[in-house]
Amino acid sequence: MSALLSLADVEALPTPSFDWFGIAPPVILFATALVIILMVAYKHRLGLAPWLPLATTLVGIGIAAVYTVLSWGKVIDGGPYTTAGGLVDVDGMGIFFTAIVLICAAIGALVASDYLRRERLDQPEYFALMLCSASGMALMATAADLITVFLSLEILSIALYVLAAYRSSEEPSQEAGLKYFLLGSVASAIFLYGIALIYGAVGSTNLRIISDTPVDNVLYLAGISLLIVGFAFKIAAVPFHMWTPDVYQGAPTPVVAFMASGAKVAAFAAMTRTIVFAMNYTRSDWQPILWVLAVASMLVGAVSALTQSNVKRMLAYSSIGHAGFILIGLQLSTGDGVAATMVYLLAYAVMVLGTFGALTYLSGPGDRDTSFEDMKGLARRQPMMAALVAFFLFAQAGIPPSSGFMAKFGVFKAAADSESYALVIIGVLVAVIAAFAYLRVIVAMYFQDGDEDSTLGRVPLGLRVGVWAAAIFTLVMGVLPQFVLDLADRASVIL
Amino acid sequence: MSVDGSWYLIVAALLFSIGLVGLLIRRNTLVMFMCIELMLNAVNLTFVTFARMLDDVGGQVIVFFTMVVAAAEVVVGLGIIVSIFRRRETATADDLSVLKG
Repeated sequence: MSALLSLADVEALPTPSFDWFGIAPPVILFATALVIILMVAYKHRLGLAPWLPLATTLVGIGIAAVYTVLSWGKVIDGGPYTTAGGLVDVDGMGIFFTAIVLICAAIGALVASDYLRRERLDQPEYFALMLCSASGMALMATAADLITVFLSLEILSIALYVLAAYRSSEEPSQEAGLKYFLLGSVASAIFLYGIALIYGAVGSTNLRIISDTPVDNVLYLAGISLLIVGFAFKIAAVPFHMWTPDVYQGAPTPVVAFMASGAKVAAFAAMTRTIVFAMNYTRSDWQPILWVLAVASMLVGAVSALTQSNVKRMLAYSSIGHAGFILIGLQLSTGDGVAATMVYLLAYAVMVLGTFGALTYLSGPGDRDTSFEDMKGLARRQPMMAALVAFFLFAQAGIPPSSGFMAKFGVFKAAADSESYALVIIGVLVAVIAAFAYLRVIVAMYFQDGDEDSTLGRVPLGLRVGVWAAAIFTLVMGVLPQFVLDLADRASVIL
Repeated sequence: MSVDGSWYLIVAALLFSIGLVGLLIRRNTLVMFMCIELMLNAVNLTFVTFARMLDDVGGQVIVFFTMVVAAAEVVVGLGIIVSIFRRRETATADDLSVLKG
């Protein structure tokens, strides 16, 4: 090769150094997706065992998890580093968020496999799309350049658009897919325009250079606000939440489980990096915006959740409310605030996976029975599943002993430490209002009479494993939170 | 004759606004889709202009990334629109109203 180059009298192009070890998780997830696509290609010639796509997915996620753990050890010992020509940051926070994404992908795949069989959508493509999306999420958690943020955002979103419209012959799913696609693309375009303006103001899209270049002109501030609009859309914060209820209601339930947890975690990770860290010196400009977003999301989420007649729609508003609580932690822009945000996102992701996972089973053949009417008398028909759903809903309401309580407590404590008392008071009041929305489901399940006989079959194995894992995690994190708190503290320090 | 760079930025901002307004007022999904493409291309123009003004090749490289993303979006978007069109023979956003609370 070098002889050839000297023949042509060309200097070798300097290539950026790649630390493949550091960017292993997203690469492995994507490679697994490619393997599954290859399986599809050779399906007719070689045949395909029905369990193979799920097994491959889980193995891929497992290998990525091993690399994540090894990478954590390396960062703890040797400190954080930047690789791929400054496009990717391997640091504690990125690894922590990558781990959450892997949990989302694993439980999402477990929950989805039986659903796909039940709805006769049994195609391996589902897992390939999910892994693609997960690789985008993992990359987004470690992005160190606005271009990496944008590209990973698109990798995760485009796969999710397809997943939302996965039941391509059903009107709700089509509509959810189209709405998510149109509004998501607009948000991406606005986000990209924000990047362009910041590039114009700073002269670079690299987050480190941006944080080292104190600019405070109109171009820069306009860029920040456009970026915040783009992020607010992805995390479903009010007033950019309009798509959420429709998409959550219409999309297949296992897709919602994955989307509500993973996409929100990734978007918050990138938001922490870009807004809170890289643009910290313009804090006084964006803090009020995030304050308003947080309060509006909490209020609208809680109040609208009360009036819904569909459980998936109610949970959509509840996830809008959760975005508000998480934004409290970000808005503080302190180390404690970021650590609290990370703990909240971990707790939130697992709770939501569990709730929607259980709902995947309860929605029944056709994925239709998700109204409050259908929940009536569930405790008698499905005592175990009803108990799990009740537990997850209590956790989401923030009732101890559950991770939800720890998460809310951490965010409020961080806010009180930075003397943002107004946020704490509003947050606590809203949490009480939000609890009523969850209680409505529990009342319907336990204290109202419905059909006596269940049309649902046995709980499938994969779904049972996924939902129970989520439940146990939620309980253990609520009872013994110290381990997770320590991890988050260390991760938010190693930057 | 040379044109000042800021004029390109103004044109780009205008294109972006046309795209955004078009998206809000038009109801045909295909036209809405074209408006999104217009917005993305307006951003491309902004990037190229800044790259020239800053004498930095980075902004021009980003344009290629954006084009790839836009192409991928076209594939997915048209796929979804076609699957809806097959079922209901309409491409109007207002007709999509199964989901509401």
